[in-house]
Amino acid sequence: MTVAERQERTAARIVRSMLSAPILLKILGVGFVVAVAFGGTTFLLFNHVAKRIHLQVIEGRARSEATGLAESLERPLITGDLVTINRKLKRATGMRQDIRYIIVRDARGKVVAHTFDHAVPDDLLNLPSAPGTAPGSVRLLGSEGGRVFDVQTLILKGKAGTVQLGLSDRVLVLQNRMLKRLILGVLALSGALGAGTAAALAYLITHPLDELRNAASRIRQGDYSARVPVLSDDEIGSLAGTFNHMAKSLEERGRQIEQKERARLSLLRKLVEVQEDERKRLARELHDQVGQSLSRVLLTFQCARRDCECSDQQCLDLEGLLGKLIDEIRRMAWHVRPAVLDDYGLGSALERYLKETSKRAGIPIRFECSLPDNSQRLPRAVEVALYRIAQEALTNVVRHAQATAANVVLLAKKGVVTLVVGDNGVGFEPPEVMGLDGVSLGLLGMRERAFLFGGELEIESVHGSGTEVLVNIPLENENDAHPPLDC
Amino acid sequence: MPIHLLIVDDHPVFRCGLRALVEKEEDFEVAGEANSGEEALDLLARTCVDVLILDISMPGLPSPQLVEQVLDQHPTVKIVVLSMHDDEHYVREFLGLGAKGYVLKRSTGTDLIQALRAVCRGGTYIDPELTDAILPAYTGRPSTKKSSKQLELLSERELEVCRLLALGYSHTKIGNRLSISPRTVQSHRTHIFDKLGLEDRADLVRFAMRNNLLL
Ligand SMILES: Nc1ncnc2c1ncn2[C@@H]1O[C@H](COP(=O)(O)OP(=O)(O)O)[C@@H](O)[C@H]1O
Ligand SMILES: [Mg+2]
Repeated sequence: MTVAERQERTAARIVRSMLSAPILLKILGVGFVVAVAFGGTTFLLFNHVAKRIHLQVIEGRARSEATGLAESLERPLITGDLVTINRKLKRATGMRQDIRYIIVRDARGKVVAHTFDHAVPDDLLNLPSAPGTAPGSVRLLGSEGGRVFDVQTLILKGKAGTVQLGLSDRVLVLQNRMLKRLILGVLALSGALGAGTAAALAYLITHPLDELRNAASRIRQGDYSARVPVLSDDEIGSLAGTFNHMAKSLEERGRQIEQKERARLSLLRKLVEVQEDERKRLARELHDQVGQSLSRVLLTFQCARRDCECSDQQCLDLEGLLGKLIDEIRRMAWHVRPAVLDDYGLGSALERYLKETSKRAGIPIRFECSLPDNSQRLPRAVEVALYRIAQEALTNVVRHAQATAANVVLLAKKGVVTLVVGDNGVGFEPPEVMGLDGVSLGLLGMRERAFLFGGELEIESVHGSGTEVLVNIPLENENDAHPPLDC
Repeated sequence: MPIHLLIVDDHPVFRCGLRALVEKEEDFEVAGEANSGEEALDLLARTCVDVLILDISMPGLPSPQLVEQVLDQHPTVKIVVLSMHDDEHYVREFLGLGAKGYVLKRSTGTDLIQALRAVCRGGTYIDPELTDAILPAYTGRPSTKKSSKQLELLSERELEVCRLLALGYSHTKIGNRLSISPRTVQSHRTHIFDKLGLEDRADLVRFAMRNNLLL
């Protein structure tokens, strides 16, 4: 990875983390950057201008002080009145605190008077008069007491001598510093104000967004009554309005779906009820009418045969056939709806069904049943539903699982009746959605039957090691909500 | 002295056939025919009956009640059930109530006479087709050793999983309940089955009930 790439990546990371910062921080950050840039520039600009003005002012003053002094010294210098000269110098330094020193020279350049306590410092005496610098130009000297601006002025165009004057800018510097502090203070104040404004702005933006987010998550949890207040007429307000519209139509649709679901359940319940009624009737008719009649025929035939003492093979065959026919009818009736289910309950009916299935499929089916004894039967409709579910589940085991063993558990505990049908077969991937395009209708039927009674059905299947179909139906409470089916 | 029979069946033609069948035997005499349970009780009070031939799928008074009432009022009467139902539960119930014989309608001709004679001798008669079913259906399944020691093989967590599995919870539900993944539940299950020597959930439920885990 090259350096450029690494930098690029770092930059990308920074951008990402900046983008993921909360809006409040973003606005504050932008405000901060703008304030720093603007304030800093202002401050630097001020500093620059102030420095130039400072120089001009101080130079002007130095020059005018020096010129004034030079004029007042013309006469005493010509007359050689040292007393007056000294007095004037003293007055000048006494009146203007920032005049550091004054040196007066005669036309030959000899120092005539000065304001130093002792001698004139050497470096001032030997100050090279820079070539080309016109008399009256200002030079900047550093000294222990701060900056000193040094100016030399000719007296009577040099015929009488020169005045050299040092002016300190301390007062100006102090004033300048105060001004700077003032400006910094104003900047800081406006920065704080800006931050406050930014925070308020951020709140104005993020608060409605927070409300939107809360409402959205309520909707996600299925509470379609969630709405947000529309506080303003701006983009956020219109977003809130749109959101409320959406929530309303979701609520509407949710209600429709719920109604449809209720209607579907009623229809389903009715269908199941009708189907079971029909089966019950059919089984009864097969069993009690057809079966009985055939029994009667058989009986009559047997009597007749005995009467005429006929042991003809054909007669025997016919008798056998009639017997088989009765068996067949009985079997059919049992398949349509076992009378045991109604007369002795789910446990007994399942026991018989499992025995039969086990024989037919050639695999052992273990059955563990723990129900309240016969006097306390489960609700009949629940029994029928569980019987049909077990039937479908076992049909699937026989048809699809390639299992070598199956087991069924039926137990009622803690107000819940549980049915588990397991096999050790190939397993499968239970479809997410059942019943689409007529696929997995068997599974869907099982689930719906359980659902009709407020129960649920789960399928757990592991490829290669088998499948378990688990059904739970609550016993007490739900019965009111679901009027018992009469089947 | 002939044996007096009472035929109770709601199908007249069947009663007819039956009467024809039994009257062929010299020592049998049909003392009456009843169309329903109520009628049968009525007739019993008036006539002397030794054996009652009863169809158990009649409308009206439920047959089990009829059997109870008959035996209550006439303890000497022997009842032979004649039925379309070949399910062991019916056999068990009616024999349990005190009936002495159970014959399938489909084998009426051949077996009914034998049944009638057997019960008159004081014996019990079950249709040969049903004897297999009524014999204990336990096909020599080795019972899981009952021992509370086995419980000690399980860790606390495994015991809880075992209990929930026996209550019919799915792996997913157990996982949610114990805050572990369904896969972990699956592996607990494998361990439990290995430790206890179980083969399937039915075994597990049996084990759990024996050890009172499902309370
Ligand atoms: N116990 C099982 N073992 C393996 N596969 C199964 C089992 N039960 C169901 N399936 C699979 O699920 C599919 C859907 O089952 P179902 O809805 O009952 O429809 P059908 O039995 O008519 O095919 C089956 O075709 C089969 O592939
Ligand atoms: Mg199927």
